[in-house]
Amino acid sequence: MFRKSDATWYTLMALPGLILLILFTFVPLFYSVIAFQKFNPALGIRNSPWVGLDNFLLLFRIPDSRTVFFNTLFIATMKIIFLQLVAIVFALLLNEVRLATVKRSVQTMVYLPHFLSWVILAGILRSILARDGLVNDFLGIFGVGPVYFLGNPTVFPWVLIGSEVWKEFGFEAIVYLAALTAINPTLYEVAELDGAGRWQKMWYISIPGIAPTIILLASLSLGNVLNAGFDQIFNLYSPIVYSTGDIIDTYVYRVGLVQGQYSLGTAVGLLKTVISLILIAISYYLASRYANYRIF
Amino acid sequence: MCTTKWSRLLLPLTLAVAMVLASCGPAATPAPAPAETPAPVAAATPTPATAPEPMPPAGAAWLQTDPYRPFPEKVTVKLVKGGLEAASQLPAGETIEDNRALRYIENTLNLDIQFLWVVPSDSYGDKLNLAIASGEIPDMMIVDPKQLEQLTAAGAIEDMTPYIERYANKDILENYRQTKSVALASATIDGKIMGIPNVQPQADAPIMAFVRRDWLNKLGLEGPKTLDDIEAIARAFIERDPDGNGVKDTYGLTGTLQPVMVPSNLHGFDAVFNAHGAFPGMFYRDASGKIIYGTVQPETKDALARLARWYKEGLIDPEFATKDTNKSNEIIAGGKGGIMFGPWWIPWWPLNDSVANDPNADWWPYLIQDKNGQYTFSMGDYTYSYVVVKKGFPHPEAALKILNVQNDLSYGLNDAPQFYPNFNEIWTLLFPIPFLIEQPYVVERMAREYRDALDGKLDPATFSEAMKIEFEQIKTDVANPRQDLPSWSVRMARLEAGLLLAQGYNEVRTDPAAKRIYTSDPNWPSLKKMEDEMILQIITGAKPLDYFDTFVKQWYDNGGAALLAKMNQ
Repeated sequence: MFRKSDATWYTLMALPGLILLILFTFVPLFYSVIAFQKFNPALGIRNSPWVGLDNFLLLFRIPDSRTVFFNTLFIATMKIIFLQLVAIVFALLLNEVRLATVKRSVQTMVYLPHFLSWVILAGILRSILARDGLVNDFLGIFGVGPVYFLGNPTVFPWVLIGSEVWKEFGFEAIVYLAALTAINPTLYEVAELDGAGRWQKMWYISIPGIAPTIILLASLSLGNVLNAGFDQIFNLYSPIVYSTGDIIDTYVYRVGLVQGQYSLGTAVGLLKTVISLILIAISYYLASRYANYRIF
Repeated sequence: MCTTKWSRLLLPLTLAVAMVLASCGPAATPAPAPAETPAPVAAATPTPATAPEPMPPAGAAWLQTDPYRPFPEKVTVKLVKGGLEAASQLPAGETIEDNRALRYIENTLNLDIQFLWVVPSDSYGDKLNLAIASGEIPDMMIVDPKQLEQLTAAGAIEDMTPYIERYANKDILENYRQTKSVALASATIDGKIMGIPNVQPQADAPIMAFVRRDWLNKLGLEGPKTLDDIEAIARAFIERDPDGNGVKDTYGLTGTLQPVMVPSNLHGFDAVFNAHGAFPGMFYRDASGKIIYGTVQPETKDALARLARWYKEGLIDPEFATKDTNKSNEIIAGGKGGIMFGPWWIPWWPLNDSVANDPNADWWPYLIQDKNGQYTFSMGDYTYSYVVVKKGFPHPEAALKILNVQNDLSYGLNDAPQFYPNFNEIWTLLFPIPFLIEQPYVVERMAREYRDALDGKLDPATFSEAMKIEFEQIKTDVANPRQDLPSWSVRMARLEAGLLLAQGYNEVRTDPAAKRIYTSDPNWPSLKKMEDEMILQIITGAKPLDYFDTFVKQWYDNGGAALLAKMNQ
């Protein structure tokens, strides 16, 4: 039963997280005004000269921004598409496994990589993707390669997409597996009585059964098409793959923090925030329209 | 959805880690090279441990000169300091805020030095930025070129022009003179000297080739003089099995994802560019006195043509473009490489690892000449930081006076007592302003002195204590090469590599005024990125050589032309 005295405790428990959220997400938003300044730390935000939209005009003029925005969109979109696709197929297949122990152990194994940080995984990837690494040795059997996975601008984005999918699909599949268990088992029984095979059951019962979940997750992921994964790329990229691997977040880091162009870096970041906000609004609209999903 | 939440949490963490990593990357001063420590020539005369209060001798003549005269009234100086995490290295009873070196400085100049805050080194930068942004700046502080510019624009610091010549001691002024006034010029904004520049040794910039002589001898080859020699040796090292294990597993040249970087670029190709008369990354004056940019000159294309050919023929590690220094060091330490490009000090690291693993590894330094038989190198900056004085502080000359006494303490000059046997390790903790104005050509000078002592032309008894120790190590290794690893490193770096530099070389360096213009130009990051990519893409063959011409045009069109016009105004 929900009692009023509980509400106080729940609110209190949410407080630390809320404070952190406000401190590290909302407060910095106000400091984004330096995107409209020629920021000088010695003068501070109050006294730094205002330059209007200069930083944004520069942003649209330099060739980097186009590359960086395109790379972000491309990598993030591909990651979302392939990740969902693989997770759905995997969940459907795993759902067909009858032996509970096999099902559970496979599920555990595939979602383990989710808990590894990219700092560690990048080190592992660097050695297995090296010229004399596991993958190239394997390709060598078929007379392919050696492929310079981390140094070839054409291949590099696909390394990012592939490794992200490998790391996360097990975890993503959990939602679909949950949705699958929610399907009424009598539907399958009835279908069996009507003589439906496994493929037919999957096609006419399982997939329609999880369709709302698929639509929901797909529309919610729209808010993420500008998040291509800083920690992954930062740990794997190098100047030779900047042309296809440099994304907004890595660019902001290099320009803003390494090279000290605070205002330009902030302008890029602010632009990303604004576009993301629009996309998230659209995604919630789509989610509520097609999947009946509501937060507010 | 969980993924995104996780990654949002991870982002600041990764950033923090990345920044720590970035701050100790190869661009920073190399940790194991003793050249970076301040006082290799310090004369460590032992002092009685019972010395009550460290005071200069009363009535000494030098005390009555401008650079040292004590203030008539006690002056309070408020400073800030990093290094808290290392404070346990100080002798028992001494702290960062109170130690004998600090008290000697206070007593000599009649100062009261206080610290607004003392923090661990890794939070020092943030804390200082915060202090600057909030206007609570200390009376004196060490800043980088960008901060110097920003503080000057904000009118937050004192003009030091009237004080330098009068209050800096003659050693410091001489060191400035040896930079041909470049150091002071770099601190000059709108005709005013706004900060006291540091001076760092120049020897780290020239890149030489260290080659394994045991492999050369085995294959009947001579040491290299030109790039063609390097090419022939690299080819032989790959194809003719120099390590004799019957397997083709040796590399020609190692490389790094940052092929051009001054100074101290381990595995860098700077020497290849320089030998072609190309000076990428440098804004320097051509014969007509106009500032030009090295990367967009035709000589750079020639050097790239050679490197691209080397890469195509397999002479360069095929994966160099994604390897950082540590990765490439593994090849050297593992005995799979016989040529390494690097500065004079690499016998301390990573070549020592190679010798430790294989005592036969007989590395030897060689300078590579250009087509005219000359040695010309891209040079780093003399100066990378400045001491500035807060606007309104009544005695700006106190900063120079403190630096004078610190210099005396470092080198044992003007009766300065030598309190600490491990001074080289703890000087940054002891000094109120951990900042050095060194002799720019100290490496070359020491090499000559060691050689003269070996030849019997100089009495080693005249050496400082630190040099005496090194000289003993050099003699040990000359007598028994590669038997004692630390001795070998000292001899190779200080004597053999140092002597190559002491023969003299020409310098190409970025004009200090030009440096200030490009570092604050909003187009610069974009231009730099374009350049880094171009160099790697052409060497690895991802783009044809003629892409260089496209790049040059793009470089001028996207802000390069405007940048040069501004510099040549």
